[in-house]
Amino acid sequence: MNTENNNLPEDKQLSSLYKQAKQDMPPAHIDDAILAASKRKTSRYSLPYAPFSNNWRIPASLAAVLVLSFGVVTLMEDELSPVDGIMPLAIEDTELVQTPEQSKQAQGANKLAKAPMKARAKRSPPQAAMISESADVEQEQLSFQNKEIKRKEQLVRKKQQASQRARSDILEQPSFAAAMPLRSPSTNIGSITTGTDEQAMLPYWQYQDTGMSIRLVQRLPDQTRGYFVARGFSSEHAELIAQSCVFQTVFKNISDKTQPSAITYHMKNWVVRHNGKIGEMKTREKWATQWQALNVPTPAQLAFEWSLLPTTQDYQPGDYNWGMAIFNLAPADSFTLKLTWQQHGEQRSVTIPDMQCAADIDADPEAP
Amino acid sequence: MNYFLKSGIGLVLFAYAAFLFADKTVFPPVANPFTAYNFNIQDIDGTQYRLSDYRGKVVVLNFWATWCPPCREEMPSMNRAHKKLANDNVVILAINVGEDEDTIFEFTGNYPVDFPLLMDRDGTVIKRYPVMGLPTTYIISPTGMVTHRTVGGRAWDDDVLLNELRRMQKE
Repeated sequence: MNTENNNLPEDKQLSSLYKQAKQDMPPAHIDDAILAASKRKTSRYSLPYAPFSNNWRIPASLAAVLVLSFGVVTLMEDELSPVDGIMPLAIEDTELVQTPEQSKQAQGANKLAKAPMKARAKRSPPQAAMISESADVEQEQLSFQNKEIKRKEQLVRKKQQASQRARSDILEQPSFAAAMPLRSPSTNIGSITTGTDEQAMLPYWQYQDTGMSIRLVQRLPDQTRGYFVARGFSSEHAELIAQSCVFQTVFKNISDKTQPSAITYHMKNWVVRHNGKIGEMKTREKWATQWQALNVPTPAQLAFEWSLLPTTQDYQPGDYNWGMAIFNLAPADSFTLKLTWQQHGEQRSVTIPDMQCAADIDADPEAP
Repeated sequence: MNYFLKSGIGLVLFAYAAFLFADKTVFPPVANPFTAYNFNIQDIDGTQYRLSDYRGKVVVLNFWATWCPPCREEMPSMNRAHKKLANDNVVILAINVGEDEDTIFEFTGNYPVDFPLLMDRDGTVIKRYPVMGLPTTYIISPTGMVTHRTVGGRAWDDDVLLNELRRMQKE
């Protein structure tokens, strides 16, 4: 606080000027001049254009919000099911990269066969969806299977261990994530992954690029037996299917997120290589001839026909099919699959190496 | 300045909204629309259903089976859509392929369905449509033409899909 004693010379000069004034208020012209000067200083519109003034803050904030929103929405869309461009259902899709816990699950895949069938059928609905087709059958056969299951435990364990040893070590290495890229296709537009399907608890192989996704999950011969016996096949005829290397397959057109484009494929162009020999898929048409010759009941034939992945199909963006793919190989056989399809006006192909048919459990528990 | 700023923001928001909704293909159209096969089949209660009875309405014709996971998944949303479309002259018919009354009845215990569940036990009807896999759903126009097709399940009670069906009915 100022006092008389510590007044500066400038203060004294100012005081004397005030004393000389005839009135307390400054003259009107001085007042006006001060007011005008202050207005000039405070009015931002009176300033020349200044690129780094405060003007950029609002638009920059809005732009940042838009960019962030766009990023979040884009990420969310990427995480949705690939077919959701047409408002699909929340089809469960296993993550390609799994946690260490899930990796442990991969190691435990061979425990499936000894897991009580009913317990597997009691999973939450999304999980149950994929296996419930077999779960329905499994429940029907539960009493029989419960009797058999204990006898088969040891044999299953042995078979699965043997199968895993032959499975190019994919599932046995703890450090090997349950889903691991094998290699990129020659076009470098997609990736192949393998691991253990979270719902089926069986090995899967998957290829996915920006437009297409195919996932092939092993089916145990026992699952296939049960499924088709429950749909009118005799045990003998169901055995023919069970011994032919069946995979549960999901084929999706996921191009609606990038460049929408239809997909067309024909299984006659898919190549199966096993032990250096080239083979092909056993399609529903080939089976139909066989079933007719064997006088399989019509409802059973229909169930079989529509249970298989279509031999040929065109998928618009967002379309997908689930179905069994049958490779006409023996249980535990390993093979390479070359897939071919048309999309974006060109033929595309990818080779999935080291695939393996599910091993069968031994029907005779006393066998060595 | 204010005018340009507001206009710019408006344009950006419009472009953003357009981006978000531009890729929503509601129902893929069939390449060559064709006359729908006029089936005459029973539902699980023995009631006879003929497609031509629905002329003047949009028909959502679904082919399905109880053992087909995506078919089961989409059935509840289809039932909700049926209720929402009750006054819109849009009907949903689901044709089961190859299964019997008991199997379908058991299915409805877990998946209550209010629209007709028709039975194609010998596969006669499905062979008259170019179905390759289940589920496949066709949209049939009020004039009886198959105009759109979806392969795989959908969330049928989504407003975008419902509004598209209503729009088709008014065309």
